[in-house]
Parts: sequence; C-alpha cells; structure tokens
Amino acid sequence: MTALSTSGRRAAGAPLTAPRRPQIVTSVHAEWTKLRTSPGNVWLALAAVVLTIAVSTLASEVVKCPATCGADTTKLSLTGILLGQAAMAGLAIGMISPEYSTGMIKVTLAAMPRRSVMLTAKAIVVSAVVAAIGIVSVLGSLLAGRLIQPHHGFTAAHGFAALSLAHGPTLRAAAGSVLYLLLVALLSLGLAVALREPAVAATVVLGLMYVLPLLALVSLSRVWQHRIERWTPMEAGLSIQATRNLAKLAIAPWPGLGVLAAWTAAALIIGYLLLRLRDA
Amino acid sequence: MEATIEVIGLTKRFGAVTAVDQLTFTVLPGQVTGFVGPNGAGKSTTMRVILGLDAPDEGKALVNGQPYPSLRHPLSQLGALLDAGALQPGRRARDHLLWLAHSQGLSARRVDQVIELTGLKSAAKRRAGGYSLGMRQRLGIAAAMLGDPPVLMFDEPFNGLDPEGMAWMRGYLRSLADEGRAILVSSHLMSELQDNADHLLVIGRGQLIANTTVAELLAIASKDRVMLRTSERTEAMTALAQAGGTVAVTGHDTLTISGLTAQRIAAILGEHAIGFSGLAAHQATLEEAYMEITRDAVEFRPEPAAVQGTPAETP
Amino acid sequence: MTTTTVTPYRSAQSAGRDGFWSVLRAEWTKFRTLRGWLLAALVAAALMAVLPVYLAAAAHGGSVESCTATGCQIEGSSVAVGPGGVAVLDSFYLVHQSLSGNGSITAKVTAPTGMGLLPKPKPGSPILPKTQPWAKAGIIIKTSTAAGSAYAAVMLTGSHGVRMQYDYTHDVAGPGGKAAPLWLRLTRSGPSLTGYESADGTHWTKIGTATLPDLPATVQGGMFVASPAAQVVNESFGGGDNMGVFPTAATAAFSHLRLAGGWSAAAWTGSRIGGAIVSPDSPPVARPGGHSLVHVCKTCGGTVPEGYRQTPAGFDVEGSGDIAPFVPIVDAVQVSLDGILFGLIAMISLGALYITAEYRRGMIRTTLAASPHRSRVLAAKAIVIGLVCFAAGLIGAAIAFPILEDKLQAGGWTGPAWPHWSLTSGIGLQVVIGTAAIVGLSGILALAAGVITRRSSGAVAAVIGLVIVPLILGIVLPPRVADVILAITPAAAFSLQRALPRYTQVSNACAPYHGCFPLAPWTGLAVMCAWAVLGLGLASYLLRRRDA
Repeated sequence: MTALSTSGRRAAGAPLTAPRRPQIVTSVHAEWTKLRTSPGNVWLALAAVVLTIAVSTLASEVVKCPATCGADTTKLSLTGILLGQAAMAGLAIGMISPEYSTGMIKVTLAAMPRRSVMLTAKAIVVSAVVAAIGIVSVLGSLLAGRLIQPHHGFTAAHGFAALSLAHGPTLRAAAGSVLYLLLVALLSLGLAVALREPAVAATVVLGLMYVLPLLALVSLSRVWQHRIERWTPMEAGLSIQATRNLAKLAIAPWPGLGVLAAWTAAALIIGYLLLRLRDA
Repeated sequence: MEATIEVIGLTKRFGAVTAVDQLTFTVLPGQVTGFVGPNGAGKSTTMRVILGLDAPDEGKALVNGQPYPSLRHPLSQLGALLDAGALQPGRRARDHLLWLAHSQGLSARRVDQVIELTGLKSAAKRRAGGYSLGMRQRLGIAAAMLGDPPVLMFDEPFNGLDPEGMAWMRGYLRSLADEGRAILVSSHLMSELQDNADHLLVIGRGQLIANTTVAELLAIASKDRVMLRTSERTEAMTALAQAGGTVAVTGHDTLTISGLTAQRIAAILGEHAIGFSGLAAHQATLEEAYMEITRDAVEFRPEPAAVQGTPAETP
Repeated sequence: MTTTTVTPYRSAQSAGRDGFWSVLRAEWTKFRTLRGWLLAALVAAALMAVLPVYLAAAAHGGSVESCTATGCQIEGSSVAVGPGGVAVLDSFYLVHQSLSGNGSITAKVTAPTGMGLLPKPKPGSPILPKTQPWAKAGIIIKTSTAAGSAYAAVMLTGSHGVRMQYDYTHDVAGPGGKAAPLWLRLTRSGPSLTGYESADGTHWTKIGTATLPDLPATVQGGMFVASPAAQVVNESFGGGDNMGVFPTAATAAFSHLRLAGGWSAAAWTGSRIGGAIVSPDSPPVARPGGHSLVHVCKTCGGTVPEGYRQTPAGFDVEGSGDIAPFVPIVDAVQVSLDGILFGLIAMISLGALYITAEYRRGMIRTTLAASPHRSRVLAAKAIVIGLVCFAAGLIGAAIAFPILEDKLQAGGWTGPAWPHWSLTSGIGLQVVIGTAAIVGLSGILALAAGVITRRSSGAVAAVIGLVIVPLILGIVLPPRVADVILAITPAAAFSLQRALPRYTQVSNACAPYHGCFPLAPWTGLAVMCAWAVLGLGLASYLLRRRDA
C-alpha cells in the first residue's frame, strides 16, 4: 500500500522527501512534537503556572508591613518559584526518563543516532517551553504582588514603591527567576539522562532542590549554613531574587545563578558522557 | 461442575469504540478451543475481562461458574498467560514464580515442579530480564501451571516462537487438553491452530462470527467441491458441464467441480471414457475458511483510494 | 457442537492457607527478591543513621541561648535547676518575709502593667503589646529565695487571667469571669498550698491545691511581680531573619494585705530572685518608703527597673523576669534529625516504585490475576512497604539517636536545658519510633500516590510535595501561615521528633525550623495517618474502578 501510494505521488510529480533540513532542526521538531503530544504535559504546564502564581499571591497576601516591614517585596512576590520549579523539573525528567522505562529510547536513538544532537534537541525544546512558562509565571506573580502588597502596608509611607520592572533589581530578579527555572529544568534533564529511572531522577532532583536547602535553613552550624547557601543549586540560584540587604547574602545574585549554571553544566556533561558511553 | 469458561452477553466499550459486542461462548473441558480473529477483534479484551482485569460494560464472564474475582485461589481454577513480558526484569525467574505461589498459598516445592515441567530448570536462577522470548513464554506457562488449574487460557502463545518452540507448544496444549483440561488459545493466525484446536471461536469486530468445530468450519469453506486431475481437461469440462456441474479450471491438469458428488463425477467420466488420475473432495485449509468468514470483519483494511494510487489522504 | 466424553480435569494442587495472608506473603516475596530494592532500603537506613549524627556534630549553641561549662544563659536571666531537675527560669522581684508552720496571705492585686520593650526596638520591628501576656503579679510561698526552689503562687497575668502555678511546670487556670483588681489568697497547711480568688474579699473560690512534699517548716512568702523577656523575630524575607530578646518589666499595686498564722511579723524585704539580670552596674537607688534596683542590660543597651514602694494602701511592686519552665528556642535533637530527610526521600521513591514498576511492565495484571481482590493486594502492599520503611527508619533513628545525643552534649547542648536522653527513655522512644512512623507512613503515601498517578516521578513529586515541601514553606512564610500548613499537611508528624517539652504557660517565639510544630506529637502523627488512610482509600477506589 505504501509502495502504491508512493508511486502515485511520483506520478503526480511530487518530491519523494521533504527538502533536507539540518539534523538539529528536524530533531528539535521531533522532540517538540513528542513533548506536545505526550499526555499530561499540557496539564503540567498549566499547573506550573497556576501553582507558581497561587503561592506567590498567598505569600504577598500574608506578609503585612507594620509587622514585617523588612520584607524584600520582590523576592516575596516570587515565592511561588519555589514550587513552580518542581513542575519544571518534572517536565524535563518527563522528556527522557519514560523513554528509558518504556524502551522508546531505542526508537529515538534509531531516529537520531547522534547522542549530542538528541540531547541538544531535548535541551532546546525544554528550554523554550520552560522559558515560556517561566515568563508567564513570573509576570503573573509580580503583577499579583504589585496589586496586593500596597494594601498590606508596603506603601511609599513605609518606603516601598510598587513593584515595577522599571526598577533595576526587580527586573534582574524577574529575568533571573526565568533563567533560574530554565537552569533547573536543564539540570533535571542532565540528571535524568544520567539516572534513567524516573523515580530515581525525581528523587535526586527534588532532594537537591528541597532537602539540601532545608538542611541549611535549619542547620545549627553557621559554617555549614553558609556553605550550603553558597554552593547548592537552589539556595545559590535563588539569590538572584534578592533586591534588599544584598550585603547579607551568602553569595551575590549573579554569581549565585552562576553556581546553579555550573551545576547544570556538570549535570548535562555527565548525562551526555553516560549517553555516549552506555548502550541504549 | 464442569471446568469451563462461560462468556455471556459480554460487551466492553472503550469510549466510542465497542471492543467486544454481545459475545457469548463456552469453553469446554478436554478440548483445545481456538479463539481466532484479526488483530483488534477483541480477543485480548475478552481474556482480560475473563480475568477480571477489565470490567465489562454488559454481560459477564464466569470461570467454573463464578466471576473470576470471587474465586478463592484463582490460579488453581484458571491459569493464564496474557503477556510473557509482564514481569520485572530484575527478579530471578524462580522468585517470580515464588511470589505467585505464595499468593495462592502454594509451597516452593510446587515452583520447582513447574520449573521442571516447563524445562526451565537450568535457567531458573537467572534474572527474567535476560530471557529470550521463547524462555519468557515458558516462564509464563510455568506461572499458568502453578495452581495445576483445570482451565487454561493463552493469549497468542505462538507469537515469536521458533518452529521448534511452536511444535513444543502445540504438543503441550494437546497433552493438557487430553488430561481433561479446558484450554482457550487465542491467535490471529488460523494456521497455528490448524492441527491443534478441536473447537473454534471466530471473532471479528468484537462479535462472534463462528462457534464451531474445526471439521464443520472446513466443511463450510470446502462446500461440496470436488477436485479432479485429468489429462483430458477439455473433454472432462464439457461432459461435466452437460451433467449440470459447475466447472472451474484450477491448474494445468486440474479442475474443481461443484454441484456434483464425487461418485457421480466418476460415473460420468466412466460413461465418456475419460481417464483421470485423481478425484477427491476438495479439502479447504482453515486459512481459507477463516478468510472467507472474516472477510467483512477485518478491522483495519486499506482504503480503496490508496490501493488505486490516488494521492488521497489515507489514515 | 461436539459432545465431550472426557472427564474434566481436577486440580491436584490443594491450595494452602486462604486469603489475606497468602497475598501478604506474596507481596513480601516480591519485595525481598529484588536485590536492588533491599539494597536501596539498607542504604536509606544507613543515610538516616549517619546524617543526623553529622548534623549534630556540626551544631553549635545558638546566639540567643548560650551554654558554657557554668550553665546556660538566656539574655538577662540564668537558667536554674528546678524540682526534679527541670530547667527553669526563676528570676523576679519578691517582697517577702518568712512564715513558720501553717498560715495564709491575702491581698488585693491589680493586673500587671507592662512598660513595653526595654529598650525601644528599632523602627520597623513588630509592634508588641506593652504588657507581656505572661507578665505575673501575685502572692507566692516559696521554699527559699534561692533560684529554682519549690513554690506555689496565685497571680494575675497580662492576658491569661488568674492562675495558680507551682513548681514551674504546673499551671491551673482560675475560674475567670471577674475583673481585676482581684483578691487572692494562698494558704499553707503542711505540704499543701491552696490558692483562692475573690472579687470582693468575702466570697472565695478555690483555684487549686499544690502538694510540695519537701517544703520545709519555715518558708518565704510575699508579693511578687515578673515580666518575661520578649522574643522579637524580625522577619525580613530575603534578608534573613533575626531574632532579638528584650527584657521587659511590669508593675502592680498590692493592697488590703492580710497575714494569718506563723508569719515573722518583721518588716517586708525586697529581693531580686535569681541573681542580677545583668550585673547591676548602678547601685540600688533608694526611694522613699521603698527599695529600687536599676539593671543595665549591656547587650541590649537599656535599663530595667525593679523594686517596691510603700503606698498608703499597701505596696507598688515592679519586677522583671519569669517564673516558668525554661524551654530553649532551638530543639537541637529535632533539628539534627532533619538529617533523615535524604533517607526519607529514598524510601519515598522506593514506595512509589513498589507499585509503578508493576504498572510499567504490565506485571500488575499478573498480580491481579493471581489475587483478584484488589483492595487486598493494596492492603498487603501497604503493609509490606509500610513495615519495610518503618524498619529502615527505626534502624536509622535507633543508631543515630544515642550517638547524636552524645555529639550534642559534647557540643555544649547540655543540661539542664538540654537533658541527656537515652534511647530507652520516653523521649528517646518517642523520637525514634516517631521517626520510623514518619518514614513508614511516607512509604504508604508514596504507594497510594503510585496507584493514583501510575507514574513513579509523579508519585515521588506528590509525596515530597506533601511531606517535605511544607517544611520549606514553614520557613519562608510567616509563622501563623506556617502553623496552618504544618497542621494540615502530613508534615505535621515531624512534631514527633521534638525532644523538648512544650508548655502552654510560656510564650516562645519558636518557629517550625527551630523544632516547634503547631500540633502535639501524637496529634501530628494522627494527621499523617489520616492522610495515609485517605490516600489508600482513593487508591483502592481507583484500583477497583479502573481496568488493569
């Protein structure tokens, strides 16, 4: 049947295949189709946006000025990123781990035999999607903060201007938060490639994201607290959100994001090497 | 009570698709019952409903007179092999059988018995993930045999087997039936059941097309045709046609005649002094019979447009 | 259809024990025959044993409380040892004389009036009421003026009404309903001390009776005022929190003083109990008809007035400090036990995989064909994974607890504020078994989430989101929101890891990350159990309803 229909096309003078496009372009296209058509991803993306904005709104709602005027209103309004990042990690893990558990990775690698192209394509697609989700979530969170916070005493009278992207540090925190989500997703992708098993990947990523900083927050050792805040991916990375008391940070905003970027690079490189070295 | 599978008015829908439609049949003891139909005809769904894995929308499926989920030790009543790959690859084959045995209150001794029975002894300590397809099938049969059940159900057991494995499987199914067990074997290839099944259930688009013995089905397909081998083909055709037969040329020196019995043909040829080297009632293959009766029931068939080569959209 | 003449086959396998036990045994066999899973459980147990010890070894005393060889100090007050070896604060101003044998003291007392924080906190700090909720003014009978000695007292408080308190840890609320000033009476009869209150001085209502077995014949009795130090938490999101402790003082008027029984009839003496707040740099200042102290609080840069003055009707008394059990803000045991979290998430992923791995390979169909009672299969799985996780948690915590206790003691977290608990003490058992229960229930939650989502990563994320993320939210959100979150999520069960006691009669600015959870330990466990039951219920419903 296929042969017949092909000969039919030939008779009509149509080309046999599409014009050749670079491998990376076709691979990205393939990965995008895969992501788009995988059930649950649309819901996950929606849930990420809703969860992030909801938690941010809650945080803006419960912190009031006469009680806590020391608040960093920008960081406060971006609290939801703490939860939204888990959804981003889930999206990234979902791009690769299930392929291993179902064996579809063999099909993927048969279609895109170059490991580097396959991984790059996945990275590009997940970055684009996470950036889109991140921008919506961050803008939504900031808007909620801008609308709510003045009603809770964060007014000019107490030395607070309404949140605005025209304010340099706020712009940096907002853009940085999107970058942060993107790096978290890529870190998760790298770890997922290295670890294969979805449950293990999710555990390791969530452990890095939530358990490690928790140890810093409760730690009874100032030295360790400082070390964890300075060198672990989430704590260091989130310093990008700070707009006040920068001197008290364990690591400055951009270097902090740099620490996260280093983790991400390491995870991607390890993932790539294992992908190269191991049988699929 | 006879050991049987009874399916009564079974209907199962998946959304808008009716996978099984008002299906009724009984699987009797001492027989291999073939359950045949094209891919997607509803064979596996029916088996899953029998096992209580899927809930039917209408009707019911009974194993030894009871719904499967209410059986006390189900594996002692019905042994099933649905998917040989349905195991965790990290576990050793013997351990896979061991947890199943424990779920039925059976001892480890029984596990070793079925391992012996299925010829897996040398490989029982290996992880099941490293098994070949044929060995997985054997492991699946060992699991089905754990409870020594009077009823057995196999979904496509011949899939992926080499000729040797197929021969083994046929013989094994036969011997199980000869012990008085009721065996239900599904297949999408009639040839696999040709010399093996006693009874056939033919299913297409979820409906039962035929519920018959192999002999009856062959008779239907063969109708009353007679095959004649003769060097005097033209003469024979003329004589037989005059006698009221319908004659078709099927080969260089062979004819197929319908409308006349073999005895009558022999007599006519004798009258006309036409020599022949062979005369036999035509024996249709099961495959032919199957093709004949399932012709309208094939789920997926190419669109005529595509076959004609029109550059139309094809699904 | 052909008629058969064969004899139907009869199974030669006589089935063994029926029902749930075989399902349970099968599920256990399934778990133990995957070596990777056993190994993962052991690694998780090892992590739970090692990390808490490591955290404890790295811990040093906090900045607010410091413990040295000579004892612990909370800003302004030293910690004394009360009856039964409990750490107590016994620091207040007392106007007293001695009582031999039985007797009673009666006075009309106004509610204590506070003076706010001393000194005034920086602008931007939370605004606190001028009078501390647990400021106290009343009458007391006490073994001696030594800090930590046994006592019983009836008092009016800042905002908790009339109370009778004795031996630091006991607190009985008065009947209430009467407006201050009130008449209070304390009667001694042998070891028994009974407190009364009255609105008019003639109609008396008993509040409670304390029995102090070691009370000597001659004791000290009189009027006292105390006002606990205020713990002020400055939350500044993003800039780190900082906490300050500020001394406070309160004043109250005593009149219609009546003594009966063996009082010494000497003049009243004013004494500061519990030593100086901070060494009194300025000498006591004499006031007409009274006695006054002004303490200078070096670290907070202010002054704390104390003393008494005779008035036509009786006395005005000013005092600072508290008579209460001392509970350190940081619970070092609980904080160290956060080290189990890595092992916990490993067990959570194991719990999820225990079911999702079956879905992935279609083995769930083999399982359900072998045991068609789906709820039974789920119950058996829950028991197996629950017990495996419980065992891993138990092994980890039982190894970690005694060692981390030693490390904390060596690191200066010593008694009386941080007693040394052995593994077999009530607290030791609560913490260790509680930790095991948290791990066990988390495993069951993960199993339920695995059935519900049928995806391991989703199940792991859901359970970490329910059990661990609330701990983070408890830090980043203000305490009253954090308290709600930590009372309704499964994370409430972490209250089981608290080693220090909790008293309702002490205001403590203790946050979840210091080891303070809104619910009592076993209530917290009940919340987590409720989640596990709900999760299993939903999982069971879906497992039965869905096609396998």
